[in-house]
Amino acid sequence: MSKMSRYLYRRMNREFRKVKFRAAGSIALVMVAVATYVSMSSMMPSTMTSLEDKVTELALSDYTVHVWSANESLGDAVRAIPGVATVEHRITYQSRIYYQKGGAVQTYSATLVGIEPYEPPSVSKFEMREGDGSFFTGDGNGTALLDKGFALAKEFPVGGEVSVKTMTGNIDVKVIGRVFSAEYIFMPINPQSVIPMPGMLAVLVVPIDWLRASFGLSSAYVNEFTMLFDEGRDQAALQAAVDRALAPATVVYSIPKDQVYGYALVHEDLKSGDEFSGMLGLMILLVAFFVVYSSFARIVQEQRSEIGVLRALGYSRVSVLGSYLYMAGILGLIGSIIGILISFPIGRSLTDFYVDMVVHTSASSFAMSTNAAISGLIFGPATAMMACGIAVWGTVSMEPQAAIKGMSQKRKVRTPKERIRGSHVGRRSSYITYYTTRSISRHKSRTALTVVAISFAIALGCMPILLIASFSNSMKESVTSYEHWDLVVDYAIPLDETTAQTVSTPGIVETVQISKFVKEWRKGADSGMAVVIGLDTSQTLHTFAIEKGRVARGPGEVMVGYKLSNDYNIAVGSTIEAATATGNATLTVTAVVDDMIGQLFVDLPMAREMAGVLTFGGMYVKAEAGAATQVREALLGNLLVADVQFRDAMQSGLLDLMSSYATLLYIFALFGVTISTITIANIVFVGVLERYYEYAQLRAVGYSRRSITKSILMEILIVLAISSIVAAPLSYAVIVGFASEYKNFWPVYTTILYLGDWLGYLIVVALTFAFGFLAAVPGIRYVSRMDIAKTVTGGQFG
Amino acid sequence: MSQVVKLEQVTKEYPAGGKSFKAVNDVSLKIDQGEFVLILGPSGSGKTTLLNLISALIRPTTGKIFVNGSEISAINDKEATKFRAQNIGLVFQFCNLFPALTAIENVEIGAALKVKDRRGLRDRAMKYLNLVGLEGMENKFPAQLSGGEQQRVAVARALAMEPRILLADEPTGNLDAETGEGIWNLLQDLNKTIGTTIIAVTHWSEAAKRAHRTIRLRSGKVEKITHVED
Repeated sequence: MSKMSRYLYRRMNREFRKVKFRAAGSIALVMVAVATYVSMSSMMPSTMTSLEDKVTELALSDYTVHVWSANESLGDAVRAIPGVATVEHRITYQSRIYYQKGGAVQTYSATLVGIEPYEPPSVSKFEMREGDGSFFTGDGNGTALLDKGFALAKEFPVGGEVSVKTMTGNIDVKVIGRVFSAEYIFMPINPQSVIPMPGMLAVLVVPIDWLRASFGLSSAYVNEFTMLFDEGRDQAALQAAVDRALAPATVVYSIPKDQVYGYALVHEDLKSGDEFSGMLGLMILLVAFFVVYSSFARIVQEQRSEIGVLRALGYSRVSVLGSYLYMAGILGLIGSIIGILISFPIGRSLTDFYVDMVVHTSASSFAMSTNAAISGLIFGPATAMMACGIAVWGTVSMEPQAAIKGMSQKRKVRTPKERIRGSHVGRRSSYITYYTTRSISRHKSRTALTVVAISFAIALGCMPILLIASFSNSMKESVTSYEHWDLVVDYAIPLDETTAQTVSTPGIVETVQISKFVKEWRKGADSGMAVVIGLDTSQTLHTFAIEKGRVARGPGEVMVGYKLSNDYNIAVGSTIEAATATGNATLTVTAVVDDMIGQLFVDLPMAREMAGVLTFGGMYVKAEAGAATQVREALLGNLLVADVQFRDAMQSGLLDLMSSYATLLYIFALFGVTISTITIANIVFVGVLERYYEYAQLRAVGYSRRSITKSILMEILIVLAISSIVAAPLSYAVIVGFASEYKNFWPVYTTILYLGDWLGYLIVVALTFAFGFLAAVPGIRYVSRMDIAKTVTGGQFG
Repeated sequence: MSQVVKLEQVTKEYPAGGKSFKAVNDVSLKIDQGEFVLILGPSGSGKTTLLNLISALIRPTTGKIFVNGSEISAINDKEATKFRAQNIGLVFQFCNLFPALTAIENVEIGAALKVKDRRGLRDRAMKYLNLVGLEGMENKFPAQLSGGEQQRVAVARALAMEPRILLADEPTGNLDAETGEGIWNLLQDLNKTIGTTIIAVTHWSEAAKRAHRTIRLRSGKVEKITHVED
């Protein structure tokens, strides 16, 4: 460093002390941005690690196959396949449970899992979370274990009794423990359910013999096999071999490990979260950029004549610029370092929160993402330096004499004709109001930057609230538009066509049977397993939300779900190969549909061809007017029926799912308010410092403290009001912009917001105003305590 | 002529490194209505402190100060603010004007404390702007005015409040000699034409011939009072 430069940096080091208040806001925002990004980026992989640790610990089945009916000895055929390490059998049966709570009978759909009681399973293990484990030391008769998630959600105590609907009547069992299995990560669903409702299903683990006896099944009957494969084997080949081995029992559906509902959902969640964390960090960095820009613009304005002197002495533009970049870099670095340090406890807390939500236990580990930390360390100073450079260059590059004289470089001063409309003469407001508005309008670019920064922060805060509202509206809209049934029925076990027709009761006008099975598909180099829905495509109870094309009718035609189409670029008019009972079939894609119940949709004849033996998992029911409740009660009494839901229950179940994210989303709302507050505090204080001398003059002339306070508060009010107005379309634009992402989660999603939904937005705005005014207090106090005489005389006693 | 300012044994002390420093030390003086008084003295003699005491920007440590018959020695901040709005016009040495306001608006902002009627306010502001020789400059911003013009606007602002006393602290301290002389001539003319009592601080002794009286301070004490016709 040259001798000359050394003085520049010494000057800057001393300037730090002077600008500490202005620096605080910039540092705070960089810190928040970096902390957000690093903590969330660390949270995602740490959560994944905890999840995988739990999944490994509990030996989640690599491949779960549900067959129509089998003897437990069929498992030997699977064991014989090279590469299959462990095979176990069990029975799963859909039913209902009833129990007393608060004087009323509660009833829920339940999956009964019948296992051998004397030995805990070694595939898809059960982790005892509460209870004495005695289930596994005796024959277990009359006892059951309940899934922990359901038990917690419904506050069901260990030791409580439930009544289980069986073929032989309702039987009471005592719940002697709460268990967790990797199959029930997040929320268990019934894979055969027509419309899986997360959060509405109990999982009851019972002795297999008890289940057989209660449902009239033979002594060696099983319908499900779980298994573990050897490491490093070809999963697809092993799955195919297992399917062949179990074909005699008729495979109804099969679930590879990575498609277990909760497990897959959490994976998707974390993947989206990763992208979201980057976006969120970037948004906050943008706000930080504006604040840093604003702060440095004011700093160099004040120091303009000093800069002119430095330039006149012989310091180059680059060297003077370098000294300011040095300051900005230090501020950014401090913000980044603090942000990284606090990201550790924040990330840990977020990880614990999320892991607890999905696996009801604390995280097994937390590790800071090194890449994110390095990025944060770079982005903080880089953002600050970029903002500073842009703010400072204009003044630094002025000719020395212009800078010394304090001449405006570029700003064109208005002539009277160009003055803004609404001359003060004739207005009723006081002069202090006029002074305030003129001060704002005179510095348009600075005001604009402030508005942009606060708008972003408000948008960040209210987006989650608007998003939840939009989802809710979209759900209601899609249900109204496409679902014309009254009830959806889930059968206790998949029923063949003849048996399914017997499930009926007076009061039913129309039914649509739904077949659901999993088949392999292929298009070019892409392939995968897809949930296939077979139904009468000409029916009108469940109509299709068709994005493009027409309904598939008859063999050789298929409709493809939005996500599958999007992920693999399967367009209308193209063809895909699908596995059938006898080989492969080529299907023409007639439409892309927004439908959440499956991924491929075919007419019944095509479904028969694909499945071989067609079974139905449930049906849609249209009841006579006013008869829906009676029909439901009657159907629930049918031993072949596990669950019957009203149409409206569909959306409340999904809203329940969204509510589990609500806490996280409302944290973001508060987050946005916090960022706004920091931004406002910084801007108020910077504004106060800039106009300190003006305020002193006003006080000396005879304006009271109250007038000055009024001026400061008015400025905040005006800036916040404009920002709030700008933030509304901004929020809407971002929500619409991400609509395609939301469709991956809810295929029929469209952005729908009504006037009443903006109440949440107004609440965020109100909070921003409230905290914004609070943030002004230090600035107002600073001005109130000013020594007027000292300020107006420049501190000279004279 | 009636007395407009009276100081009785006024002292102002400031703490300075463990001891106290008397910026103004036992000063007694009287100023009559319509007088043009210059306070002279070297740097640190207490000129600005004396001005700040008279304008109620600060309070004396001991002694009494009367302005227009009212004692202002021990008034609180609220009363002092009201007092200045009603009685005092102030002209400062540095950066007098509000950069976001035009010349006419800079004049209006002071007068607005007294004149609520908007038309009346504009008329008054124009009157004093013209009086200081700035007709046609009312819509210019401070950045478009020279140093001397800016100071004239500051004087117009102080006058537009129609104060009993105009206090000017080194009004030409930031200006070249020729421009500064113009300001002193202006103050002299205003004193003669509208009869405002003017108390000005300067270290430029050439200004003395324009005043009725000069009060020379040294080390916080009145060293000499000179009547200019003497």
